[in-house]
Amino acid sequence: MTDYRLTTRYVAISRCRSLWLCCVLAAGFVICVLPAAANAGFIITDLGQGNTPAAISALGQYVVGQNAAGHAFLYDTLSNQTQDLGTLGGASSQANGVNDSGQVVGQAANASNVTTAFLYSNGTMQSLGTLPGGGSSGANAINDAGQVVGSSDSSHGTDAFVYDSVNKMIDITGTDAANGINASGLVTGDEPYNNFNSIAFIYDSATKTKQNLIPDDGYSGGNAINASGDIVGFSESASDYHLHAFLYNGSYNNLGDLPGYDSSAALGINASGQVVGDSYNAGQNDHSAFIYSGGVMTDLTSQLDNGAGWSLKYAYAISDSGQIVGEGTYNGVEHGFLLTADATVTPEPGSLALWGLAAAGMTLRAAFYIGTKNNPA
Amino acid sequence: MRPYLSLLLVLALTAGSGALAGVLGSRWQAPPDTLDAAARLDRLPATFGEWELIDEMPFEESAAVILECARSSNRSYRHRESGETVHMAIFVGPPGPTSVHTPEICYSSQGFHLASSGQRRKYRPTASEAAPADAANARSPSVATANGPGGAANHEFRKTVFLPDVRRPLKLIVYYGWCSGRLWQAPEQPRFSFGGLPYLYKIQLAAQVVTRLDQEDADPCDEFLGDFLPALAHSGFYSPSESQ
Repeated sequence: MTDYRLTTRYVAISRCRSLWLCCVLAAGFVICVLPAAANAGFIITDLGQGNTPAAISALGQYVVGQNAAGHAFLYDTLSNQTQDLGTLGGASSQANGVNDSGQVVGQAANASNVTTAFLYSNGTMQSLGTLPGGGSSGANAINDAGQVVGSSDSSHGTDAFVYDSVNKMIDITGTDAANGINASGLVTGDEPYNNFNSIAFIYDSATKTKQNLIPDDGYSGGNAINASGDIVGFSESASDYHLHAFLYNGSYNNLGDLPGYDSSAALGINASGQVVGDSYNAGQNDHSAFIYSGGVMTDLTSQLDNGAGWSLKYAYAISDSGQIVGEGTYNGVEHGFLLTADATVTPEPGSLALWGLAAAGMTLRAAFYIGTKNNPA
Repeated sequence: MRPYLSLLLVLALTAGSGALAGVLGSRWQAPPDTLDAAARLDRLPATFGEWELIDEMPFEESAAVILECARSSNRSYRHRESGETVHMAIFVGPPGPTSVHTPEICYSSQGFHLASSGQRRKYRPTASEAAPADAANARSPSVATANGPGGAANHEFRKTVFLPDVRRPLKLIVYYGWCSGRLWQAPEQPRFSFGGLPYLYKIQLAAQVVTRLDQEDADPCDEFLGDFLPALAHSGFYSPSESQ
């Protein structure tokens, strides 16, 4: 005869243990999968040997740069079509910036092999000319309103400029180059300092006012600006005299370097404040691309889910959805790349196997325990 | 006895090589001509050709101490038409420290890395500069081969190119050379070539150039030297008492 109270107690215990087991297994699975989800890696797309991308539009549809033939190119990531933008009649051209309408800016040589800034729009490449007295120029960025920034020779040396279709090329006097412009017309770039160094500046194209970005007098440069007016670039540290990536978002933040390197430079920033760039050792030409997100700088090569043979050197720009363009080596040869966040959550095989073994073992143990208690003979 | 002999030999070799280095570097030698050589920096031309002096800055004190220079001039010139700027540092001091510090090392710690080095650029002295071969310079084998057409000795400088560590479409062009008489020279082993001289000038030119695609880059230093060297000869910078 079976003792009813005893059976009920064993059933309660076994249910409790089953619940506990389920919790443990679920937790194990989550722990197993979490690392992959937290480090959501990147899928790399090879843009080809000798192709150097320079920029990606904010929405991520367009990538521009210079192809292996030495011409500016425009790559549409939606249609997967690449277009050679040609030149202004000379041998070469290079695209440096693109907006969400697909307007492209850069520099191109004419038939006399003189290089000037260009704007490519509606299938036509036009020269933007130079500042008065200058022989050559180059454009670095364009916003959605069609304002273009860059640098141009002039009668008094090289200056940064802002161009728009109404006012044409406006000289930002006392500067070297403008490297980024946001939708509000705020511009960042470099102005000369101490012979061969520079200081980062911010310039408001509406009020035509400029100010230095970094308060101390070290070597610095502004590379990019996002819609919120956050600026990234590089600046010299007063403590180690090396250059380090910075983020200026109302206050100055030194972003540090990747482990094993003593210097860095931030090259691009998106609307979410994610920053990309390169880390390197001063005086040497060894670089590693990084992403700075959530207060952490991470080596991009280590984040590749399909990165065998790749070593990412520079990350030049990042779209608002986190696509990154840059330059690296694939099997030792220089290639351009496009990184896209890997949305799939793939547990690591080793962790998954361990979890499976643990789950099987615990299930067997629980079954044995319940069987023993139900048949105490 | 033998261990003492070995020790004495090592000590003698150490002391001897130190003494030789000291003699070659004028470590103990009184510099009777150095003051005169230093005073001649006042004769550097302020304008020549299309170039005009736009700025003169003090030489960095720490560098002056390292180089033991007796006097220096640190200035910038701008080309009136092109707007190009060339920075020139010229200093005079004992040949030892003056000859050993080269820009290949200095600029590599200042945000640049070396792109090319060792290219030699020669400038034939104009007729008004021409003079007999310089006895001091002739000690250097590399200088002896630096003759232009017709056998006249040329000025010679070393050209190096640096690229910024950060991504910028720029290059830094640096020229440098030494002078103890009337010819600027850039021998492979300056410390040995100029060792034992009472003083030595060193000149260093630097210009930053914006690179535009594969357009042939300007070389402001080259243009500068083409105008500066004749102007320097006419300024009375070189001592008339020197053979050249």
